[in-house]
Amino acid sequence: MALIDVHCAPLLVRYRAGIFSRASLFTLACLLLTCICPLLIAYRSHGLWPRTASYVEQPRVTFRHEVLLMLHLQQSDQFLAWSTFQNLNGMLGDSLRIPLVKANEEDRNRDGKFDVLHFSLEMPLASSEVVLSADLLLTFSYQLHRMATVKLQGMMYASHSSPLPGSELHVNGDLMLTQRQPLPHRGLDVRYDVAVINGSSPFTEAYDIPLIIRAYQERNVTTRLDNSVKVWRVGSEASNSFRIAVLLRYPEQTIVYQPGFWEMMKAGWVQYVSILLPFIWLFTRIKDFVFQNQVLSTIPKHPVKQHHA
Amino acid sequence: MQVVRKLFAIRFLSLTAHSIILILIFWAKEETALTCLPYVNSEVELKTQNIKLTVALSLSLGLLGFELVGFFSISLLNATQSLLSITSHVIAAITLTFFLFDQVECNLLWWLFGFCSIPPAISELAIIIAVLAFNRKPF
Repeated sequence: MALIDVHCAPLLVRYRAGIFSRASLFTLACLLLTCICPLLIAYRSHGLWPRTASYVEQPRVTFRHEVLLMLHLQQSDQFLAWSTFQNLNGMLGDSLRIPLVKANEEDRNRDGKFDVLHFSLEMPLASSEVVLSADLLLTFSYQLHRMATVKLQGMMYASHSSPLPGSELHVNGDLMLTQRQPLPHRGLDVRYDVAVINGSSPFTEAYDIPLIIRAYQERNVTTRLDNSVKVWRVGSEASNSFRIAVLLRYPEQTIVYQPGFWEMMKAGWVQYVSILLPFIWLFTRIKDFVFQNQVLSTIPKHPVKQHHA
Repeated sequence: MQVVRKLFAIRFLSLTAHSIILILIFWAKEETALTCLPYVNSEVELKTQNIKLTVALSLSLGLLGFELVGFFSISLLNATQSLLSITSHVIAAITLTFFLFDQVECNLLWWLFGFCSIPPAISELAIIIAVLAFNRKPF
């Protein structure tokens, strides 16, 4: 009858030596080398502890319906302005003019998050008024939820000027998140959930665009208009209105964050163990060689011989 | 005897590997000295670094030479010395290869000199003294 191997098991040979013998010292050295070498290799080849990682998320953005508009006219030091802030409008005097504003946000893929903002503004002009430059500032509420909950108030600033009198300005772009530092991986981050424009302030400094931008750029996490194309449509002098049309997308963002303790440990462990395994194999072979050949003197205990005796 | 012959071959190879890599670093000494210094450096600093490197490399090579002499004359068949020597020099050779490729900081040379060149040389010296002065067997 033909026989087959149904199971096989190795026999354990014990090599015994005193605690302070050369064999013990050798075993200790092997153990240390087996553990430390992979660590050194993993560390030296960089990336043992990932300091930053990234993920992709579509933010929850809503237009706050705060607008600051400034149109510069051909006649020097004349401008038209309008904002959604009562205090500023009160200070503008003759320069204040009320435009027709339409804004709607669209959720194209029905995931509960807005994808696009359509904003249009039509400023009536007198026949003698010619617009050469436009500044528009819109503010947004911006939220991230996947890792840390981040709430911030951001803005979009679009500006264009031309030597030719315009009748329309079209802005088409993305609202992008700019990070100067990685976000935390958990918790609530409301550091920048602060109004971009302080609408309750009775001072003109609070509505000065360079000052607003200076304070805003101090923030480490901001939003800005990016990937934008602006089209300045040249109008005839007789046009009786100036129109601004903004199409702003809220795309998915790649967000850089600081991984937490367990994520770092996981990454480190995976690297360490994968380098450790060949070292364990190698040092087991070396120890086999040294002790089987009695390079260092030990007392071997063979299980089979013992059984016979 | 078979085992000691195997060890003998491995020990020779590890000693040779260590010495070859040391000589290679010796050849690339100028560049190594430059990479070990900060980007903004002075002529004096470069000279000092050069001297430091020369001393470390020469000492390592000297100890290696001493060990080679002992290896061929007395400790040829000493298994323990062979093990110690193989371990030290294999580690040193591999680490120095990294040193040469990655151009890490020059202090590594001194660490290697302390941990991988001195211990086998001391035990070699002990064996030579034991054999020559006390008429012990070399294995």
